[in-house]
Amino acid sequence: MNDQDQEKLSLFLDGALAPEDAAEVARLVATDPEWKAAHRALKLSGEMMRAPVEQAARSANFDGLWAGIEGRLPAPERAPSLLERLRAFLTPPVLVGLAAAAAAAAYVATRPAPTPAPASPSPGLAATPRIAPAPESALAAAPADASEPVVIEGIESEGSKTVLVSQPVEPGGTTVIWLLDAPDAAGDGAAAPTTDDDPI
Amino acid sequence: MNAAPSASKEEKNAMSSMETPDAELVARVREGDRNAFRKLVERHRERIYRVALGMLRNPDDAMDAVQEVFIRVHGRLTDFKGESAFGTWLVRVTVNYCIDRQRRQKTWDARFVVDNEWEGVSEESPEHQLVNAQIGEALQRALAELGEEHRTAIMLREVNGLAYEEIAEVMGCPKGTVMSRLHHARKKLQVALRPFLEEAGERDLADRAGEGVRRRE
Amino acid sequence: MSVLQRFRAGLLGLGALLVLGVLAPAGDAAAGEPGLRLKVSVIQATKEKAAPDPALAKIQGELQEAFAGYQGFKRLQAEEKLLSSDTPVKLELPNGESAEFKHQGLEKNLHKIRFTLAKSKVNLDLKAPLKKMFYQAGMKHGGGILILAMYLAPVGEPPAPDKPTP
Repeated sequence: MNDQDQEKLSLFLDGALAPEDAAEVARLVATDPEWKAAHRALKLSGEMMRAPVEQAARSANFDGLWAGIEGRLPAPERAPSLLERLRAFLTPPVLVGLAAAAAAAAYVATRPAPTPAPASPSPGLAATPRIAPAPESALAAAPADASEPVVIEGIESEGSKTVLVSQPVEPGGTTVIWLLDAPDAAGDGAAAPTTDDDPI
Repeated sequence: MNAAPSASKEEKNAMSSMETPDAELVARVREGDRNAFRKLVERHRERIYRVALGMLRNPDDAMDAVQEVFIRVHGRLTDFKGESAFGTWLVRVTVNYCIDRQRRQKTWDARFVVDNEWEGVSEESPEHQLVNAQIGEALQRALAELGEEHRTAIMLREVNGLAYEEIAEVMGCPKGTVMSRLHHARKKLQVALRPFLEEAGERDLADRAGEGVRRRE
Repeated sequence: MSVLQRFRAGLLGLGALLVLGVLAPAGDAAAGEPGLRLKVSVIQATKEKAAPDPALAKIQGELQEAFAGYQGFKRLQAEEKLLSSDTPVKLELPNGESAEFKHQGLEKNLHKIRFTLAKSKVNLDLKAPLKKMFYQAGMKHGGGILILAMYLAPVGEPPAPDKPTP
């Protein structure tokens, strides 16, 4: 077999020969011992390269793959705005307390250092169903009872984040410390509402 | 041109289960849709794993590669112009990643070419097992001695069943170059295996190869 | 079911879900004060509806109520740390942020905790009773936000029951 024959055989194995050439090679493989041996060697090498990969692929476990990938992906470029997150978080009965919540957000965002809060919440804030300015409202001396709220004593935010604390009014309610992106120049989350849907 | 059995089966499965075209999912990922990316991962992970496994020869390394490739791809989606199929572009990224990794490792580990766990081997006679081991060693040596480009071409063709055109796109070379590389690689492999075929039970080995061909059909 | 009942159910449920390791007393405990464990579940919340995460089955209701705008909740990590007044304990979060917790003593039966999110440059001083779940939320992650569900328990406290209190 010369080099040209070898190349023809390679093309034959890939099914890339014209029909008449393929028929000629098939005839040679069937009748010529040298062609036959070369053909068998190439068939076998392909099988032996492929078999372990096929076997390993069949037992591959991709269960943790997505979690591993997702954990390393960068955060989406456009995150939900402050308003969107507040809208998502708040339910209609809370609308009455929004002004107080906004005031609390502004207060904690600009607060330079932890400061002891007043001993008791103001009556107005206490009436807010779900959001209240936690630093002030939550400082009543709480007994070590799980039904009492977590008390936020002080907040320092030196970066661009705004901290907003949602304190429960009902005993046993949930305390959530929100960490939100500060409003940006484009008005994302900070601008006054422009649609009827805006809760603030 | 024929495709190897695993790839064609995979592609058929992918096509039949494909609810949203890759291009549409890619567009959604660019807009920040994480779920769309997850769908792409789930759709292509097995194929990418096979490509990585064929090149890296180690299941753990291959799984690492799959993760790394998808993370890279997510970061480079802006580079994907849609001139080739997303799957082909993905294979290209995978091949480049694996080549980089192989270069870092300096050597090519060919031990995975054949091992004793190959299904069916253990049921063979001791003579068959011995012959298989000898052929496996010869094949390992031959593959390790191939140049990186020739080895990549033959693995993509034989293990992953890529067509000439796909290999050309993946390797960034003309189709004629792919054909030439495959010819060169096969010539070397044939030279490496022929003595064993001639000396140790040619008929039985030939039958094995024939069975393999029939299994794929 | 009242809010209180839901809270109790969630609290006990989370206790059952979190990993309970055998931790040797150290720090405050070694100094004669009661040892304090902090349990943290790191949860990803997304707006897209997702199949409920079985690991969060017991607190699903509380999550849906407290984070009403989110429909998908998936637990990414469950950690338990022994708090110390000597050194802060650190928790690496999947978004690359690093949370630190330091016990700063006991005041009127409330545990004073310094909670720091290093990269965000946020420090919080809080006081919490034992077995009171509280949350930190809002950091972006994976197309949604991260929620840290936290609560304090004494060292040696037996695991919470498997089923929530009715």
